[in-house]
Amino acid sequence: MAAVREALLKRLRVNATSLSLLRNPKPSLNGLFALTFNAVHRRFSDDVMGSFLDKSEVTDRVVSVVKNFQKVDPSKGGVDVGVADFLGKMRVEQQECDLLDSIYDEYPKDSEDLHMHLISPILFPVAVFSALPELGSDEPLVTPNAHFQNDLGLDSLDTVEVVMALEEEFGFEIPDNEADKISTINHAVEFIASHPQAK
Amino acid sequence: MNIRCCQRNFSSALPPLVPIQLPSPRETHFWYILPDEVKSVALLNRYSELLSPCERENVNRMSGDQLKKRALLARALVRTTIARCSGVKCNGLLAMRKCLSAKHVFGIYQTNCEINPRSLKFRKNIYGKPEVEWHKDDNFSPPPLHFNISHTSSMIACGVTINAPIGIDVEEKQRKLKNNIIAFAQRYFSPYEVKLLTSISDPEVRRQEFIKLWTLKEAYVKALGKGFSAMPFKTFTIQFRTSTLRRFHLPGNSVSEASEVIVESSNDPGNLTNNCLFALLEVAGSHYAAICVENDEIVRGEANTPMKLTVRKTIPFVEDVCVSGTDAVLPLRGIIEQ
Repeated sequence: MAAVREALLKRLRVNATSLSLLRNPKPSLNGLFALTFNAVHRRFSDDVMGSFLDKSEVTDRVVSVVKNFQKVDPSKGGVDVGVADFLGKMRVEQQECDLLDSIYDEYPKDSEDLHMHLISPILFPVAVFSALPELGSDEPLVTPNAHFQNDLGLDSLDTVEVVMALEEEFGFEIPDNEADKISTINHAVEFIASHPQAK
Repeated sequence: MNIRCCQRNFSSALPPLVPIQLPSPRETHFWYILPDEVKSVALLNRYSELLSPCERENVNRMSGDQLKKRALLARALVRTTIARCSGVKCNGLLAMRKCLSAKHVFGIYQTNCEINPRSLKFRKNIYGKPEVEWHKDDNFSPPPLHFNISHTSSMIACGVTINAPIGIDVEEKQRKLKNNIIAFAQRYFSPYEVKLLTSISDPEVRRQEFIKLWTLKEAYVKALGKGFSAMPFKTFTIQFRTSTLRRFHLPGNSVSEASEVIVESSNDPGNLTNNCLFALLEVAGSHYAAICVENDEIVRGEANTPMKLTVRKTIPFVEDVCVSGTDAVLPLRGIIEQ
């Protein structure tokens, strides 16, 4: 049981940004949730090297980076803590645990399939749970039109940190003179969507 | 410039702003407000009346009460501080020419000549740095006042100097970086600074030194007034050097020489530019404040002269406290005379 939980937690840590995508699952034909993960997307875009990313996808990803940035409190150990708490409280029956164990054993460690077929159905309710605190909270809304300073209250250091987080998310360096002009989510989206090196 | 010497344009219930002696050259004034101490809605409304319609619009554009209050206090602080620092310059003769009636002439000798903070106009220089737009007037020579503001959620500060561009930055001492400090430094700071931070093993000390470096770098860029992109943080290095010069101290003056702060530009390595005075302070026990003043008077090669600094805690129209030399101001770096 502990091993399964530990495996799940390890998984969660690796892909914190995917959580936001889990909030919008699309049911597939056979009734299972088919979720798109960043890793899958990257695989597709690698095939078409040097192409531009779709703006709405960029917007989603930028919004999620900024949301995570606002939520992350390093003193508490990050976004994962809420989820870990939930898992801790999650009561898993012994036979369900055995089932999970056996499924887990079938897949190679850290494989994407494992991620998609095993973790995702479990993560979805978790994602909903962690999304709940947002409802009715005083936290500023991170929308595509949000202005870093005026709406989100970010100062110069925060903005530079967000730019750095965006660089990590999209895998390319944003030069300082361009970073200076990014003062809203839309600016970031425009810049990234028009940059062929963005992944 | 509307010099309404003898009128009180704010409600008569409020005391006038006490004018302050203009900073002399090489003197820097640092004013700060703690927003949590300003709770009165009536007072906030008074501040709102000082703002231009455009500024009021900008304040309203901010989301949420906290951000609105912060923006409002920042503008109110700038306007009142500059108005007070400029006021004394307006001499009686000047006022007489402007005032038309005998009643006003007599009035001058009763009240201090003040500049109405509401009448100040501001503009941005070509790089976007805010500055005062003085009204061109035959009889009025505008004081060469420079200012710069900075704010966190818990402190708003304004620095004022004469004849020298100024940049300030304040950050909460407890502020934590969301990214890894070394990764961030490698991305944005100079190699020398990365090495300095990496050599600190205690993560808490490292975090504090990072914040101090950040504020000094921000203050420098803001003093130069050309924006972050014109002066990327990687292109210059902040260094600390222990000052070996003995100085003659006047009794009553307190000069702290923790260490000299110098800037080295990557474009011109080895040429340590000494034309900036720096000060790094811990203010109110809760914030680091960095002040950078450009000063052409300093000849290269000559040791840095101290920054003459006066620090005041204020709630405009309510109180001013000069906190220089008290526990509220702890000099950390730079040669500072309080």
